Amino acid sequence: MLQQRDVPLDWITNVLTHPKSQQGLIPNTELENDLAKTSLPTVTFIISKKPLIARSYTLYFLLMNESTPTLHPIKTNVSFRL
Amino acid sequence: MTSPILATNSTLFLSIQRASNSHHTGLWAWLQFQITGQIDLRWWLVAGNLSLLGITYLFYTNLANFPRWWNLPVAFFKRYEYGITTTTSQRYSIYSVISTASLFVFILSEAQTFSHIKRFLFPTIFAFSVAIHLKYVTFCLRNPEGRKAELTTKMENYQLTHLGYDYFEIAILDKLRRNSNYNLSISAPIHSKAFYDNFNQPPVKSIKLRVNQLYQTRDKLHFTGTILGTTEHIAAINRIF
Repeated sequence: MLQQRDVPLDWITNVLTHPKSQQGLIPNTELENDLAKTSLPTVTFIISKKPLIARSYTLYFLLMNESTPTLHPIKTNVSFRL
Repeated sequence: MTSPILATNSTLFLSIQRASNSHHTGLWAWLQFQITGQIDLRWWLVAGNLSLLGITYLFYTNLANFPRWWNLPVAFFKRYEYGITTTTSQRYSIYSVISTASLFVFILSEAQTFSHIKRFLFPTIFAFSVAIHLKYVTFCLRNPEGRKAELTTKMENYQLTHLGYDYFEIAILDKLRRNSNYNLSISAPIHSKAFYDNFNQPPVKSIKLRVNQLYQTRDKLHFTGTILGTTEHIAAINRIF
């Protein structure tokens, strides 16, 4: 997930059912990896810049599992400016 | 144009007018609005009650070969079951009067052929109708509470589906309430302790990525990175399940 760097991530709200497009963007890494023909642990995505309105973004991971209601989003060391 | 309330009341006017078009409801509402400047349901109720007199009169004029006071039981069959002010009670009373009148006509036509019934028919029906009116006799539905719940849940679910929100079906909530599962106590925790700890203290707080490629073109953002330390993280996440 790409989250605006200056906006704290609201992880209480489910970002999948209530996507706040102003705050962040969730690329489907599984799908993007298939398109780029790469596989985990390598992650590749090519996304449109259109919804990325802020100046800088931080990359988070949202791990999902069928038996778990919520997992804490995991922050990565990667931030970038546009 | 036709709200549920107006549609319910339309039956009253339709019975007077012998009209089969439901758009007459809107016409009546429009007419009242043009005359008085507002749509008042109370006048509709009054008109509905007057229509009952009209039905009794129709029955009275069509009583052939019988004394005219035979329509007394029909008038007595009217009974306010759910209160006087609701549209449901209006509909209930008009249906009951109409059905009683038609039933009565049928019995009378049968009595023409069997003349010995004729002698006891009027006192029987009259006593029966008075007994019903004074609530000495009550018709009981099979499982009335169940039917009521079923109907109301259907109505509520219809409203909820058309509101556009996520919801539990009322039937499910009702089932939970009836089986007292709202207050269900859980003797042992369902998940492991690590599972619940995850909500307070996530097992993996951060992941390190090695960025292989990160660049942007005019309209696209390209990213390729590799997750470092995968096996530890997977082990940490697996611990909570």
